[in-house]
Amino acid sequence: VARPDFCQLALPHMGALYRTATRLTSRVSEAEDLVQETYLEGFRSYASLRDPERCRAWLFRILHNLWTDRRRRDGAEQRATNGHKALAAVNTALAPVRDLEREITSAGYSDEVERALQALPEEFRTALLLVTVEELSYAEVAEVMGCPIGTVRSRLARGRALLATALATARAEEPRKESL
Amino acid sequence: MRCQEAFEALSAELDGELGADERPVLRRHLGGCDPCRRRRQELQMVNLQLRAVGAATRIAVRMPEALRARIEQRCQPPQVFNVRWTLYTLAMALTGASALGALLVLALRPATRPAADEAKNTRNETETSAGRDMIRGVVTAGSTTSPTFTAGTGLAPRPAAAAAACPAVTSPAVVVLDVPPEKTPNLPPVTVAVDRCGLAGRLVALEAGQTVELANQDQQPHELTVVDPAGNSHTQTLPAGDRLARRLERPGTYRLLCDGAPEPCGHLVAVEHPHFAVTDAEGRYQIAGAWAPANNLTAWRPGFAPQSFPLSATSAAGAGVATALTLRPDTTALLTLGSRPANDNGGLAINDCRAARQSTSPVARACAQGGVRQAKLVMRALVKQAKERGLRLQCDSCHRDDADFSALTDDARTRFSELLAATGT
Repeated sequence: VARPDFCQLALPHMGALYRTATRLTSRVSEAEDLVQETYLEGFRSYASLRDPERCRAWLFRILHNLWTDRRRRDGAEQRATNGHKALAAVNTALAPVRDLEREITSAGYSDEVERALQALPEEFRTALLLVTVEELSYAEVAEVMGCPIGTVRSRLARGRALLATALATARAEEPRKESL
Repeated sequence: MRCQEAFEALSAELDGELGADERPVLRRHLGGCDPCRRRRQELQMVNLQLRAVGAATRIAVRMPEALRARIEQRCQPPQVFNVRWTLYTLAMALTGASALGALLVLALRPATRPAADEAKNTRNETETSAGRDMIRGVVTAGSTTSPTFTAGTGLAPRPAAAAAACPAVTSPAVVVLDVPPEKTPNLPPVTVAVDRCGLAGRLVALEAGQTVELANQDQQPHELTVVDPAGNSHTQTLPAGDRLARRLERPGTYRLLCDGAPEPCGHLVAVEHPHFAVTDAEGRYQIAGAWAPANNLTAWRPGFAPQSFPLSATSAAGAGVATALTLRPDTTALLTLGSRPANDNGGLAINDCRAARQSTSPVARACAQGGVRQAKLVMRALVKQAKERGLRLQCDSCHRDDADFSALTDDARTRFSELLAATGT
């Protein structure tokens, strides 16, 4: 059986990779760079992909590795998670689709969840986003993040726990703000 | 099952990742643990909100079409890169020739044309007859502001009477066919006279590798400096009646500086092939011979921007098609006649870039817009960007000689493709 070519397998995942890159980088321009670089790297190393059916996870892994390398290179402290920046980036992305605002609101989207999400440690947040936004399986997330499935499961559970606490705290503070 | 384990199992359940063997265990634990049942509700709420974030993101964060197009373009089989590179190298070969000027044997040209005559030429046209073995036409002045020079410019101060005896000179133009390099064997040296008015003409063209002899025919010594296309200079004092011979190996424009004056007293242009000509006093030129198919020719005069002229397809009868062209004065080129650093593009300010036309690379575009200087800036920026993205690349990865950007390593084409790909350009 002829091996499918890279384009055939990889191009359908562009949107998902871009969404993830936007969340990771907090900057649209950097997200574009990251996705482009991911495809370049994927194109170069396609021969090393043993199972073409795992192409999606493989691409996400490339993206994740590139991002990790960048962070390491640029200094993690400079890129410490900045919830506001990330939120701004997502809001920027949301801005051009005002006609979809109602749909988004009705889907339950809120800044509060976004803030809580951005405040999570990165490995928790990444795992959660890959599973809930991109709907990757645990096995795929394990491949992307280069860790055992058990670790993924643990990160997701702890991420959810932190998120629940943060949202509960935010809800508890909300009436106080209103009363001020 | 402990509560901690139950919590992980609840989280996995929400994602549909709970194993079949775990379900009854979890169910049993929940049956007897109120806190875990409450946490399950909490988790379900959180998960709903997370799913909402996912849905909103999928709706809102759309990949820019330009990025999608770029990736789709990059995501092509390797031969596409090869084709691009072939075009690039072809462009280099073709434009490289044009970058290198031609030179006029000064002695052959009276080169005495009053500035007033030039001022009348408000339209500049080149009529080109393109045939299999003959191209001829006329290059007229670029504009009413076209520069003229007083012969003797660039020489040490002399008595007013001597200076007045030297007429105003309009430099000829050099016209070069854009064809691949080609060498004529055993070419004799070209003699350029430096007399009491300096160089009798201001532009001399010859083949790269040919020797030029600067002959001081004045009654006094002159200090001559030859600045090669890479900006390297060689200065020598030439006694009256003596000659300085120099082989012009490197193609490109050589500037001649006389007696320490910052303004060049002439230009030597070394071309990589013999298919060039220098205009006569009336601006006429004629290139004869046999050459590889050419699409363009380039004309340049000191003080003007180099201009590429397409050679229109010849008619069935083989007659040439006239092409109207405009040579525009170029401040950059004007400045090169003054005190600009010698390595700052030399004479051919714009087209002295081998990828300037056919190639679509950002370097070529920069070169077309701002000359070698701009191209170098863009190249540096690209390399920096590529390095940031993990590409291991230095100047000497592709360039053999840091003074001659056209001397490339064997794998330069591959590295350049990588650079373009890595930078998404």
